[in-house]
Amino acid sequence: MKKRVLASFLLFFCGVLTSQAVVIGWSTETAPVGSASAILVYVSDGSTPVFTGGSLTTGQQIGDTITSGAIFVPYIMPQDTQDTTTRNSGTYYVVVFDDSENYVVSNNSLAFNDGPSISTGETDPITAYYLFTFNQNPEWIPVPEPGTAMLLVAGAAVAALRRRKRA
Amino acid sequence: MKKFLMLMTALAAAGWVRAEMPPLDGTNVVGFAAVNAAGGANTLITVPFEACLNAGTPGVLADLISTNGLVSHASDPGAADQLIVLTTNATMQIYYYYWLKAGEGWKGVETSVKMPNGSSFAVTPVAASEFPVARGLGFWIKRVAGAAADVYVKGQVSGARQATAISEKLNLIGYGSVEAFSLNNSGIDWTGVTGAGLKLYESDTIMLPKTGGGFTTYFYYVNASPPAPHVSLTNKWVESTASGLQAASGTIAAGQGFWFNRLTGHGSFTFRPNGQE
Repeated sequence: MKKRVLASFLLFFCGVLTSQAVVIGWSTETAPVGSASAILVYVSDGSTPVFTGGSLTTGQQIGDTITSGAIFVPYIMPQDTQDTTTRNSGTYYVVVFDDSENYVVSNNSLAFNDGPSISTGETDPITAYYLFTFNQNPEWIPVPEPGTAMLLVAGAAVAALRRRKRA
Repeated sequence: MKKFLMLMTALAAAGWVRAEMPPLDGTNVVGFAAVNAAGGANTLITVPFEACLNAGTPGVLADLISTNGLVSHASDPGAADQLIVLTTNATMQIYYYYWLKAGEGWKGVETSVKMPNGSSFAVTPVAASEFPVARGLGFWIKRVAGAAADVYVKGQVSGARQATAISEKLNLIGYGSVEAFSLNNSGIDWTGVTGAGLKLYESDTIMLPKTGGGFTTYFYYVNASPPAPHVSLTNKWVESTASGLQAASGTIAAGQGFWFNRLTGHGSFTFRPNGQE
């Protein structure tokens, strides 16, 4: 049993070590007015990124957060963002935040296998930066805080209990 | 006595013949430079020299890479060091692969290119002795695991100014310097390179291989009413990070090559790092 666990661990560990990193080249020339930071998000199932309880519940942040030093509305300076996980499907989005914890998701997305903007080989660099697009004056979405999310969950639980009692 | 006279006559004749021989032109200086290229990795190198005694004809790949210290194999290309050069066929950019065959030198490897529509075609390299290269062009060297770190490039030290043709899309080039240099602080003439203000994604880029894989991308920044903090970056190569822009720093070793991405629409130009004519 121990051997099997050890073998599984080694296989998993080696798999992690040998997974192929890719670098995604991206930028934007339509960053919304008020943009203060941004992140690249990978979504595996084709849906758009969603925040719940202060964190991403649909999607996964890739790379570092882009800070205001790299944002000159309407431009976000080109980024080479490394994704250390091999992808066989899915898309990348950019999520931009303002100074008040509101966010907006890019209108378009980048396929996991886009040739010119994703470098996969040891010798081949990025030859074109993918431009994510935004509405210049979008409807910002508040990022639900953890407390708010907990209240929502508690409220739903209470409502469910009441329904049970009535029944 | 007779023998002595004969010897003296022979010596005198030899001295006369030697005096009558025209001296060889001594301006040709052969250069030999070590370039760091670790085993088990791909390294982009360039040759800062011209091919020796080429009598006005272009140098060829086989002449510029010394096989000294390289790993050869009798039959297995995968067990030998390889050269990878960029070229074009009728429609697209392709690579030629060469491997170091023991006792024979650089031999071409037939490869297959897979197209986005699923089709594929074979690429057969021309002989390394026929592939023209010039000072300032770059190519990859793929070392087998465990190979010694240094490779050697050789050729004729040239006093002429470098002139490297840059065309649209990717170019594998280098600065034909025999000393380490920096992109921004070595007085290199970047006339002809195109920048686009804060639209950095529309600027020409240089991509330097990083140790361990991947590239560091540098964008050519040109003043186009930039925010005040960026005035100092005008006409410099800059790196774009998650926290902002910064001027390219550090030095590039002699013999190290790099990618130059000339965006479509920017046209071609001749890179003359030592000044325009």
